[in-house]
Amino acid sequence: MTKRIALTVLALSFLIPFGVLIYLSVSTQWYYPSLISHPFTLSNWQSFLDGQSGVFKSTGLSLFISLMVSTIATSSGFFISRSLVYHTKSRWWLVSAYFPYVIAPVVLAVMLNFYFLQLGLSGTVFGVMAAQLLITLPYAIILFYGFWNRNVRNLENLVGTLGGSFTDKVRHAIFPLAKGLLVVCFFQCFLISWFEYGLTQFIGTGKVETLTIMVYRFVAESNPYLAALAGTVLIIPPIMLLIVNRKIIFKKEWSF
Amino acid sequence: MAKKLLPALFILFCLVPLGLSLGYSFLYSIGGAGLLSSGFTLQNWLELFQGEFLQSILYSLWIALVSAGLALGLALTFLFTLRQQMNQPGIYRVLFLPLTIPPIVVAFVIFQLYSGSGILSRVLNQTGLINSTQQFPALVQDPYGIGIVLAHVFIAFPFFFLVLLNLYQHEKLGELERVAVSLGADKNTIRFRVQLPILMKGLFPILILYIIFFMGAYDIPLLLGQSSPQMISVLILEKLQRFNLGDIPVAYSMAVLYALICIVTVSYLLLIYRKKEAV
Repeated sequence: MTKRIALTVLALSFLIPFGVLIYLSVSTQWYYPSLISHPFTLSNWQSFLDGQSGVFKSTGLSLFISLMVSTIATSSGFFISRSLVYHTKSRWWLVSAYFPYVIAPVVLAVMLNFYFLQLGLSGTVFGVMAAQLLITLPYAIILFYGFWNRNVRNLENLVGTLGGSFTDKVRHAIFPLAKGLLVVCFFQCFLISWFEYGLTQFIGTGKVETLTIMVYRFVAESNPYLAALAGTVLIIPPIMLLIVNRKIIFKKEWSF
Repeated sequence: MAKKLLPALFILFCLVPLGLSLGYSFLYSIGGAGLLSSGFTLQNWLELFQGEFLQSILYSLWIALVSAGLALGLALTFLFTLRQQMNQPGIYRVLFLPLTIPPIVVAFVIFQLYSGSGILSRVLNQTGLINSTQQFPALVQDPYGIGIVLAHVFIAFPFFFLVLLNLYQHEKLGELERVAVSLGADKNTIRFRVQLPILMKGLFPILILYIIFFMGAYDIPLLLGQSSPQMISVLILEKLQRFNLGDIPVAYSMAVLYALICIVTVSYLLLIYRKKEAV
């Protein structure tokens, strides 16, 4: 009985935030001490769909930035990690990949800002993407580092011995083995970029209005309804990724 | 050619920006750069060890340790008591849900739940336990960082729990338990002297990384923290964006010192600690 109560409390504590977001996104004039006796409306969602609140535009921009960042980080991190494993001996290379990743992104942005200003990247979408790549690229390298083991190398050598080119190695040896990890890395980098607030705010100087920026802006404007709406939109892609990700991992369609 | 090109790309896109940013920030902090620089000085660095920075770094460390400790304690309790129930697919899936919420949204939800005019306060008001927002205890933007800790625990607990469940299976702790029982060990001995050391050894690097991440957290303390003391990232940003331009070199010195603390900790963890583990 106690265990069932504990499980229910656990499940509720994880589900309540979703309820709060949806509840507030359809609320208006929610003044203290009213709990449920206030008007409900779909006007927040209508303003999202007709583009009035700016959340729709931010969703497109956030999607564009996250997709670009995760694609570039995954593809380049994959081959850079291969080259680091195959052509360097010191473990220091792996350790150094952790440095940009563990420093708080906003502190990294503070320290980098001078160069971004000099290069004219501050306040631009390209600048925000470049800044996010400084975190996601090392992350991808760290994630792929363990993939390049003796088995992969032997398989590559086998394709090479049979006369295969580098492209053949990638197509017939590396890619079939790495598919699952590539998908996982893409999703992880997407989420890092999608969740990012501090670095985007500082490098974007508030001009690059991603969804996380919009959430904070609505909170600062004391508009919890639109903040909840932007928050709800923010959690939709991660939930979709979670469903896809779990299907991939647990169906064991991919080999690791 | 590609052999050298790709590591060079890594250096160019990861290490050079970090080195340049650390270099510029350090120069700024000692008066070697910046429009208001009046020559070499160590004053900004000496200031770090007297006032706000020290207070802020200790506060950040406190918040990080309490958050990680609570999340770990909860995860271990659930692991030892409810591990079997986690086999139900519905419950197991729920564990992944908090991982889909961005920190800024977690902070927003915690604020809406636990602030003076939040949902919990409204529920207590409706039930007649309180009459006004002032009677509700300060759970967000409070001196003890309760709101920040709650948000961190919400994020870290499911992750720790999933890692511990994975470790439990991977290290075959169930089988080890049966062996220990057959040798006459009681429940507490099995948990604290057999299973816990193995679990902690596996979790230790992740735990340290989480403590570092929590120390540098920005989104959550920005919404849920109080104005003094502040978490380190919030303090650095505030110093940098304040009207007092004299605070900018201090902000840079804070950023450099904080970055060095992170780099040294991770280097220790990955180079020295792992080497010790391997011996």
